[in-house]
Formats: sequence, structure tokens, C-alpha cells
Amino acid sequence: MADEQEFFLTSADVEGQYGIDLITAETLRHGLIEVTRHMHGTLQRSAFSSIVRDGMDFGVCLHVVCDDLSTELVAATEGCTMFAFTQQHMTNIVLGEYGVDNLGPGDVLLCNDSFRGGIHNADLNLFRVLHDEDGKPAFVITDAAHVFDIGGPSAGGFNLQAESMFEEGLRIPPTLLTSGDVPVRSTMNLLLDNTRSPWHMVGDVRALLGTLRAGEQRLSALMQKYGTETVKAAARYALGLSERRMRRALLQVPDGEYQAEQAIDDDGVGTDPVMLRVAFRVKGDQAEIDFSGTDRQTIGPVTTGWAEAARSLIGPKVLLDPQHPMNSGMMRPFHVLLPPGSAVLGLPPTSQNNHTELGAKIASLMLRVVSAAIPEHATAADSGASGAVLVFGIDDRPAHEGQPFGAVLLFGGGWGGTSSADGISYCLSALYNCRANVLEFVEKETPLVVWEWDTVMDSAGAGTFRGGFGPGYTFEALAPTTCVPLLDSAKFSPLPVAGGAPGMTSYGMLVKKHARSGPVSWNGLLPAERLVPIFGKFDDAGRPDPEHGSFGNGTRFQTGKAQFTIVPGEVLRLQTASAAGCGDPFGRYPQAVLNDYLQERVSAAQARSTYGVVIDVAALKVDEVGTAGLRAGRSAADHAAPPPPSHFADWPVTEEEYSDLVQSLRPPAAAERI
Amino acid sequence: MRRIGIDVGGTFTDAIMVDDATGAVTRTKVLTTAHDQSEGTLEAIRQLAGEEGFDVIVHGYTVGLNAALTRTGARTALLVTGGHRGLVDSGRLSRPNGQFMYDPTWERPHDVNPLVDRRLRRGVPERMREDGVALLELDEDAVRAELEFVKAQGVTAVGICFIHGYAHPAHEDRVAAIAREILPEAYVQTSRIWPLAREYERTFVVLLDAYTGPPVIRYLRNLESRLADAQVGVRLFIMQMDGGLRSSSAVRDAPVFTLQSGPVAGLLGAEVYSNKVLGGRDLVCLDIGGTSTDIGIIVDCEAEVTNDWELEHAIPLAITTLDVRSVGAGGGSLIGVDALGSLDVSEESAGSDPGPACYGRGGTRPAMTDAYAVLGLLQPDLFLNGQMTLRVDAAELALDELAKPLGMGPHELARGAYDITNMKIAAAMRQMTLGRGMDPRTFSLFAFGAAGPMHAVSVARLLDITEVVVPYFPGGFSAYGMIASRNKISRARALMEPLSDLDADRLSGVLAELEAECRAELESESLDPASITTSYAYYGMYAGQGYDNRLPLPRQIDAESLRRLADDFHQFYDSRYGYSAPEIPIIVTSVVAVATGPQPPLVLPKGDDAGRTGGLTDAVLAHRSIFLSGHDETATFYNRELLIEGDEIPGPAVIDDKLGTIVVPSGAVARVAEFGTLRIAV
Amino acid sequence: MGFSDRLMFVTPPGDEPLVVRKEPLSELTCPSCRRNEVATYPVAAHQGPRIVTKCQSCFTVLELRRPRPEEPWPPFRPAMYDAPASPAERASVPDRKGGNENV
Repeated sequence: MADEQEFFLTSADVEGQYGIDLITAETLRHGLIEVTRHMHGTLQRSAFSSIVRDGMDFGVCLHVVCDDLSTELVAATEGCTMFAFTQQHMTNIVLGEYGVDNLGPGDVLLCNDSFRGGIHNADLNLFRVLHDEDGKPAFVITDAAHVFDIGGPSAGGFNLQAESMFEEGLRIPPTLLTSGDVPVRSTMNLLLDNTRSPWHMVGDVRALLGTLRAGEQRLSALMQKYGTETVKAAARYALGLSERRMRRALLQVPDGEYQAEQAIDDDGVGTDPVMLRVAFRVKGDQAEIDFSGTDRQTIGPVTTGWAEAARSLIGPKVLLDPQHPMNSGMMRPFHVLLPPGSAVLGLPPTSQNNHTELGAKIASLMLRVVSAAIPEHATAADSGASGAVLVFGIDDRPAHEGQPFGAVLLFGGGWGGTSSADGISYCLSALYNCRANVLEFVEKETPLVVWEWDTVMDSAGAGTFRGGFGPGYTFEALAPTTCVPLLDSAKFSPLPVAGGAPGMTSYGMLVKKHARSGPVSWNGLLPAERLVPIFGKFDDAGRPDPEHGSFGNGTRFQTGKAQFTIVPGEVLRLQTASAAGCGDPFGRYPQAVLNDYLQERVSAAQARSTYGVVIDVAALKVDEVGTAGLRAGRSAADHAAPPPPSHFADWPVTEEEYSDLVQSLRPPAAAERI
Repeated sequence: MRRIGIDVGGTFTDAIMVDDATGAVTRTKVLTTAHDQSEGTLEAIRQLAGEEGFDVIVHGYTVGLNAALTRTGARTALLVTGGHRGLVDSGRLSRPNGQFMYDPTWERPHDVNPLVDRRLRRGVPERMREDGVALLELDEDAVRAELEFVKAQGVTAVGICFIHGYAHPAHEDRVAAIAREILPEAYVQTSRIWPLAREYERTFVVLLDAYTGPPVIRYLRNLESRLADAQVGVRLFIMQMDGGLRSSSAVRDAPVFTLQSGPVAGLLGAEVYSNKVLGGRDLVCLDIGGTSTDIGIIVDCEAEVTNDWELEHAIPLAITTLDVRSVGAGGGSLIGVDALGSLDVSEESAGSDPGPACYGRGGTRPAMTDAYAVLGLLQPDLFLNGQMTLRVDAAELALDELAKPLGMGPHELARGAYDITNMKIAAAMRQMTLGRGMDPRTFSLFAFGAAGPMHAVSVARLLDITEVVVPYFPGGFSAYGMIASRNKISRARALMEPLSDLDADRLSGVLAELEAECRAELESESLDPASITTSYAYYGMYAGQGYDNRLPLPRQIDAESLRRLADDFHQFYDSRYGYSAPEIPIIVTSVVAVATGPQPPLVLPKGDDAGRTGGLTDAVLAHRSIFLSGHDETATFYNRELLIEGDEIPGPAVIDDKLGTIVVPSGAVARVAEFGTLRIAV
Repeated sequence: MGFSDRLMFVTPPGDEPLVVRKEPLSELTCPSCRRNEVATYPVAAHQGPRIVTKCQSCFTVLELRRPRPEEPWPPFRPAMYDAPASPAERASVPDRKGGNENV
């Protein structure tokens, strides 16, 4: 059993364990991170697909080759955070299969296979080995990016109804992409012959290759300046430092077994939920993450082939050691147990096209199970959904006629309330971290109009500290547009901790326009008579209601994973589930509730019924007496009852009701600074 | 003419006066008066000019920046396209790289502390399509209602920014007119201040201008009236973030362009040195003061520009600024050892109260200044001419507390902190050079600020740069940059079209219009039209990309030069990004015309005014032990003021200047060149 | 050349939960806590798929090894896993040889 003192290394300890002095170790640790920072800048600015450059859906990593020819991820500069986890496993698997000794200078391997540690086929992963002066493999530089299209039935690579990998895009085993820095023609042809957007593909591949070369140049310069053995020693030091930090954090988690489960709405083909179960076992400074009991792999594509072995580490990362630069040292104290044939270890030929919703749920689940181990630092569940939609079609605007268009529109969700702060809004899952589109560019390049991107009143999971909001995102098609939403949590609300409220669930709906305001809502509210329910929990009057509504009631689809086409003039609105809250909402600081009211995030009615805060609307102040009365007067039964999913309680049906409602809901003006 | 340059910084206000006729250069430094920066400004003027007259003041201040950072700007309302109230909260969804990427308690700066909270962000029923068709007509009744609401809230500034408003301003213009009706006293700003695509960035330009405009305008009015009291007929010019000057009256149109001009001033001085003293050599600039380390680069005698400036994470100011990047290390940065024995120099600064341990004011946490003291680079009797206390013993104690558990001595730890700082600075410099496809080895390192020349040679060695250049007065150098600067104005227009679709005549026409606007502006500031020079640039990217690059445009636009432009564009991509894509159309997002006024007469200090009669040994102050190379060695300490052109100083040596310290490590040789410039062979 | 039949699978039939089976090794004693609760099972360690033998009481690792070719971990095994690299695949390696270079 390790103890505190073991984690502190003196300068002599460092010299003894790594053969270099502490200062050199630290300066080179920063230097190795800097190599990846340089790669990050290179890739971000030179890539083609907007999902890479704007969306930042890429990763750049640097690995050290160990004596037994396994590799460890020493440094990364995150675009999409999951790559900083998955590339550790994938590099080992891919190089193990190909044989690292079969690679020479200027060789780059390409692989996108989920069963070999990739995520889904649209992510191209590239691997380049750096040799030392004696020709021995010393380091590996890797990068990965989501390319817009890799073939398959659905442009953009998200065939949400795929029932096997044969209905996805191209699956590429470890394949030489360049040999001695010369592109391998057959590999390039394979990619370009099989994509709907060859020009983007070429651009992205060039950018990825250029980035690897840029990283190699920087790393070689370090190796020349300090000597390869010194740089490798510093890499080992960097890994050991992360490991020590994580072990130290694990020591502070009480030994035991903690469990959590969370359901994915459905697999996109059937309607049954997919239950994910995990046990987090801590003993001393080690832990197991055991997914035994997870449902079987799905018919639809909500399954991955190995990615969760790495992605599950997001829970410990976020909750036990978030601030230290990511490397695989933090993974060393963990063993992950994945039952073959389950949703977290799918067997070929299962499809991973919808890995995003699985990943978002895994992140959510892992945050919950680690929170169970450290309740004083617990975080409520995040949106558990990506909050994105793929769109594609053929343009028919003047000067664009006949041109295919496609985009990934990102709108995000929220993170759960914690014991010290509200959850952030407008954020993707901890595993993703992508950046939003430039709407003015999107509207130039595609026949779309993004009418709205804003929060929905009362939807954030209430709590002492509430969850972040899931936004509503409304867009219109000017030409027929196929939409592929990446939006789980339409059936099951994100789950709270410590007495908080669940978040509102996700929704898809068409919105009819109003003459003066178009399809734009008032703080997310719209009259039900203007909505056409597509998916989600609606009541009989067609109002979105996660508490009293039922999933699929009167909706066009019985799943949120439907791919469908909207015609010109149709307006689609997608709402991401909100994150859940932490702590009893009746314990929220009344001034914070007042502020939410003033910011039109929380209605006076929700302030009262959910938070127990009476707002004097005329004076725009908290009615202290009323609040104290409400809060003291709460019955034991009410106190014990878990709060329902947060949502706007009295959704209007007709246009008239709506405009009256909006009038009544608007917080009035007041001259004093609030 | 007698010209004064004044740079108001965080702690100090640096000022310099040059007399074009006599060539005299005088400088001073006063404490910044945060409550009203004009007080310190005027005090500095008094100290320099006394009873004598002067003609021109060139001035950089931090009024706007401080208002923005401390959230004490104007009470602002932001009118946006209905449905997009959340834009400024969105932070474009991204999280910052670094320690907060995975931190569940991290909150966006604009969330925690909004410039304008949601309540004062009002959605207006209106919507333009990208081609200018109004999908929703402007609902003027709704506009009036929103403006009445914000008026009742006591707003004093209104920002208006609509989707596609950069290209189709009709709705914004109408709303601005109504705003002026309903709030006649308010400051009103629209997308016209920065009429380029990218709604997130543009909204923040408008917002920051509305927010910081009123306090800046108040400051200028106050300063102008005080100057009028003190002196008649002085012309006041303000430094912009792109390094150009505008008269204080013209600045009122777009005050946000002066938000943070201090760091850019140093780069302007470096431009002069590159051009006049160093034969056009490209420079990487290193400015280390008490609280911050700023880096910039000079290429072809011009400072590189960027559009990526951020006030805080996800609060951008996307106007063209000189590219100055901050590194959180150097000067007052704190040194720490964590519970695992990992050593770091953090972004946190010791400040000045109590400050580093060696200030003797009771500070116990060691800062870089303490490291300098323990390394022997700062000597108690020689530091700032002996005018300031230096408690080396206190520094040693503070460092020892960290060093002991590591099993190191305080000198080793100090050296380690020094090395880590150098690594971080070198990394930032690499980002700025390699990130542009440039090789740092082709640059010289230009160091200033009180502590810049303490790190310069060591940093240069990390980058394989062979020469370090230190100007005659490294401390307070930014004020010199002020008076070396010239009037500059630029105007841009969004095009968003493929290069292949651009007609040479139409493009020439657009550029001519933009140029005419610029010229008109400069001529209104009484510049002689014949002295104005203009240049053109454009922003371009391959179709489907989202990041555009600034590239020069020739003066003559014809079919031939447009074709060459495409070739140059592909070449640029090749050298910067490692590839080009000739088969993909090039999109020209915008074009820019820049007009600059004449270079003011340059006065460089002679640099040998102290009058030395004997040889180099006359300049020697002492021989002291330093611990820079990992072992004790004896360094010769020199008095900068007694050095003259031609002196050669081999390391190890430390040259003490009144306002800074220059370190020449073992193996380097410093030579005093013209104008007192130190050129150090690394 | 080897050929693998671990390319395609059926979904595990039935309803009973899928668990990672830990095989107890009752003959082994933990070197750390001296208990007889040692088990062996497949895991994803940080380097990838591994077979671990560890004490279930204190998680002390007695052995962590790569799976043998016949052990179905991970389930999927590429068809050409045991085949040697062709000359084209090794063209950039300075001293080209044939043979199986796989670890």
C-alpha cells in the first residue's frame, strides 16, 4: 500500500529513477508538450473540413517507444479530447499488428478501425515512427481527424440505422499511407475513390501528413539538442509524474466498489433502451472499471469496438486530476473490464456509426460513478448527448446549382451542477470539446438559415447548483436537406446528485413560422400549435413535457436517431437535454435564483415551485419573508420526493396563449443596477 | 519639434521626450495613477517638459483595457438578431487548452462576469439572408420597445450587431437611428466599426467598443482639457493596437482600437532599430517587465499582425493588432514546487506588495526576481544604482524552503526556475515563428524591459539564434516606440467571393474607394497628402476552410496580377502549412487598404553621453560571483552609462543600466555598436 | 501464413448479463496481503489488451502479460496478424529482411 511520501520525488530520486536531473526533466516535459502544441496549430490552420478547422475535431499526440516496443502517450494538445485517450491504445494495437520494426523513416500508417482502438470510421488516425541515431524506434507521432465523408450510405459517416459495419463507410486496417514520405498511390486512391468529397479528403490528408512532419521536425530538434536518451528519460518522467498524481488522488478515494448505470435511449433501429452499467472498484492507489452487466451490443450502431477502454478514463481524469496535462501515465493505475459482445465492446460486424451518443453517455456514466466515490466533489450528469446535427444535400441557390453541400452543425449541451458551481452551458461532453461553426460562413456555403441558438427557459436541472442548459437550435432548409441528429437523452433525463433535479430531455420538432418573428422562440418557448413533434416526450396537446409527456407520443419518429429530409421552407428545431443539478433546489441561494429570473433563464413560477423562492416581480427583489415561509413550510414528503425533470411547466398551446404568456413572463424594467 | 511619448502601463507610466533639433532624449518613469490615468500622465509630462513647450504627445493608455478587465465600463445594451442572444455566452463551445480543459468547475469568463448580461441583450425581430434578402423585416415597434426597456435600465451605450449585418447594414443602421432618438445621450455602435464576417468575433468588437468607448472618451476629454489648461496648441495622438496613430478626436469613432496599445509600442521601437541600426534584420522581440513577458516579431522591418487577440478566454477582439503574445513567466512570476516535487514557474505574479522576498517587504513566496538575486545577477549595492533594497538573504531563504525537500540548494533551484522560464519563452517564440513557417535561426533576438536582457542570451541559445540586441534604454523602451510611430488608418470590406470570380476593375474600384476613405481620414488630421503612403492586403483561404490568412495585394490590379496572386497564395500555403491545393478555389473573404503617414524624424540616443576618458576598465563596477552556468563563476559588472561605441565585453558579465540589467553569459561577447546598442554574439 | 477466424461474430445469445469472468487461482497467494483471492482475467490495461493475474483483495498484480495468440482477447484478431510483412510494407526500413517481425 503506497503512502503520501512516496509520491514526492527529490532531485536525487529523479536522477536515480530516470537518469536525468530534475530541471532537465521538467524543461523537457514542457518541451514535449510544446511539440504537440506546434502540431495543434499546424493542423488546425491547415485542415480542410470545417469539422476539423472550426469544429476542432482532431487530436495530436506524441508517444515514447518502451523497451518492450509498447508505446505510451507522453503529450497531447487537445482538439477533441477523446483522442488524447484513444490514441494511447490505438497506437499500441496498430503498431503491434503492423510491427513497429517494419516502419522506416517517412512511413505513415493509416487506420480508422474501431476494432483496433479507433472510434468510428470517419476518424482517420495516422502514425509515424521517429527513429534514433541508430535506427531504433524511439518515438511515435500521431494525429487524427474527423474527415467529412468516408463513403457509406450516409454522407458524413453517421448512418444512424446501420445494422452492421458493412453499412458504414470504408473500414481501413493498418495501411501504409506514405512510404519514405511518398504517398502510397493505392492508399490515396482507396480514400479518394470512396469519398463524396475528394477535395476535402485530399486537403485533410495533406494537413494531417504535414502536421506529422512538423511534429517530427520539432521532436528531432529536441533529440539532437539533448540526446535521444535524455528526451526519452524526460518522457518517462512526464508519464511517471501523471501516474503519481493519479495514484495519490486514488489514495484519497475510500476503498470500495461504486456502481452506476445509465441508459441510452435506443439504438436507432429498435426502441429498447441500451443499459450501460459500470462498477468502479478502488483499492489503495489502483482501480478497476468494470462494465460487466452492460447490455448486449446493439443492432443499431450505438456500440464501439475498443474505444471505451480508453474513453472511460475520462471520469477519473475530470474528477480526480483534471488540471495536469493529459498523458497515459494517468491511465496506469486502471484496469478496464469490457465484456465481449456488450455495447462497450462490440464484436464485428457490429456498427459504430453512432459512437458519439455512446461516448457522451459513457462520459456521463463515468462522471457519475466516480462522483459516487467522492460525494463531496460530485458532479451531476451532463447532457449525455452530443448536441450536433449532420446536414447534407444538393444546393440549388443561384451560382451554386447542383453543388453538393454538407456540414456538421454543433450546438452542444451543458455540464452537471457540482457542489460548488452551476454547470457550464454551451459545452460539449468532456470527451469532445469541439468548437461551434461560424454561422455566417455556414450560410454562405450551404442553403441553410440558422434562426436560433439559445437556451430554453426552466430547462436546466435545478439544484443548489443547477446544471448547464442544453440549447435549442433552429434552422431552415432552403433546399432539401437530409438531417442526421446526434442527440441522445430524448427518453431519459440526465440524472442529478444529492437531491438535485434531472434535466429536461432532448427534442426534435418542426417549427412553423410566425409572420413577425419567423420561427424564433421566446427563451425557447413556442406555442404547441406551431410545432410538429419529430421525437421526444410530448403530451397529448403536443407540448414538450419531460415529466408528464411520453416518449413517442404523436411524434413522427419513435427514436431520436432518425435520419430524415426536410424540404425547403421547413424549419427543424433540435433541443439538447439539459444537465442535471447538484443539491436540493430549495437550498439554492435566493439571489442566484433572482439573477436567473432577471436573465430570463428561470421563470417566476419555477423560482417558486422548484426553488422555493418568491420573487417580488414589481420590485425585482427576493421576497425574503415569502421565501422563508415557502422553504420552512415544505412538507417532509415534498422534501424527500425527488424533483421531477426541470422544464417549463405550462407550455402554451395556441398563439394567443403564447403571446399572453410571453407578456406575463417578461421581467419588467427597473432603473437600479441589479 | 519636441515630442513626448507616454505609455501608461499596469504599474508604471513610462515617458520619453525627444528634441528633433538638438537630438536630446530624456526619459522618466512615474507610478500609474489607476483612479485617473491622466494624473500620472500629466505628472510625467511635467517632469519631462517642465516650463518649456512641446508640440506633440503620443500616448498609449489602458483606460479601455482596465474598464474591460474590471468590468467597470459603460452600462451597455446589446441588440442582436432575435434568436441569437446566447451568442456571447456560447464561447463558441470551446474550452481552453491548458489546466482547465477537463476541470468541471471551470466557468467561462463571460459567464462568470459578463460585459453585458443576458437581461440587457435584446433580440430584435429581423433577419437578413446572406445575399441581402430580408427574411424578416425589421420590426420597428419591437425595436422601440426593447430600446425603451434598456433605457429604463439606465444604459449609456448601445451595441447593435445582426447576423450578416457586416454586408447588409440597413437594419442595423435603422436601429441605430432609432436608438439615437430614444437614447440621445448614449454611445451607439454597429457592425460598421468592423464590417467583416464572423458573427461571434464581430459581436465582441461592437460590444467591447460600446462598453469601453464611453470611459475612453471621458478620459480623452479630461486629458485634453487639462492639457489645454497647461499648454496651448499641443497635438495629441493616440496609439492604436495596430501600431498606428490617430488624433485623439478621431479616436472617438472607434475607441476600442486603442484598447491595449502598450505592448505594441515596444514593437514599433524595434521596427526602427531593425530598419535604422540593424540593416533590416528580422527580430524576435522579448519584453520582460515586472509583471508580464511579451513577445512579438518583426519581419521586413514591420511587426507581424494578428486578428487573434483575446481579452480573456473566448472574449476576442478580432481587429488587426500587432501580434504580441504574453508568456506567464519572468520578472515577478512565482516559483513553486508541488506535492509531487514538480517544479514550475507559474503565471501568478508576486505583484509589488509585498512582492518578491528580496524586496524585503515581507514576501515569502519566491519569485523570479529572487532567483535573479540568488544567482547573483542582481547585486544589492549595484541594483538600480543602489537605489532599491535588495535582500539576497531573504531571497535565499524563500528559495531554500522549496529547494530543501527536493534535496537541492537554493542556487540550483534558482537556476532551474531560470531554465524553465527560458524554455517557456523559447516555446512561445517558436510558436510565433515556426507557426508562420519562419525559421527562428534567421532572426536576431531583440530584448528590452527591465528583465528582458536577463534572459535573452539563454533563450537565444535554445532557439539557435546567434545574436541578441539590446537598445540603449531597455527599461521603458515602449515609450520610445511611441514617438517612433506614425499615423495609420485602415479600412476593410468583406467580399466572400472566389478569387477566380473577381474582376480586376471591380476589385481596383473597391480598393480605390477604401484608399480614398483612408486618405480622407488622414488628411483631416492635417497630414500632407503627398506624405501619405498606402498599401493593400486581402484575407484569403481555400474554399471550405474557416481560417483566413492576411496576404499582400499589389498596387496594380489587373488580370495578370490576379493570376500571380493565386500562385503566390499557393506558395504561401506550401511554406506555412506544408501543402498547397491548386485545384481548390481560393476565397477572398475581405480586402484592406492601409494608409500611413510619414515617419517622424528619428532620434536615436548617441549612447555615450557620460563622457569616459579612460579604457573599458573605467566602466567596471565590481567582480562578483554568479551561478548561471550551474557552477560558481566570477562575472564582471559594468556601468552601462560608461560604455562607449567599440567596447567589447566578454561573458561572464552583467551590465547594469539604470532601469534594467543585461546578462552576458560565459561564451557570449557583447559589443557596443552605434547609438549605444549592445550587440551580443551568443 | 496464418488465417484467423476471429473476424466475425454473432451477438452473444440469451438474456443473462454479460460479465467479464474472473477465473480464481486458488493455489496462488498474494505476495502483499497473503490472501488466497487471486484471479486471472482479461483487461484493458493502459498499453492495451492484457491478461492480468491479481489479488482481488488488494489488487496487487502478480502478472500482467500480453494475450497468447490462442486466447480470444481481444475478440477480434486480424486475419493476417501472424503473417510476415511484405517487402513493400517494409520498403523504408534500412536493412530490409523478410520474416515475421511482429512482436
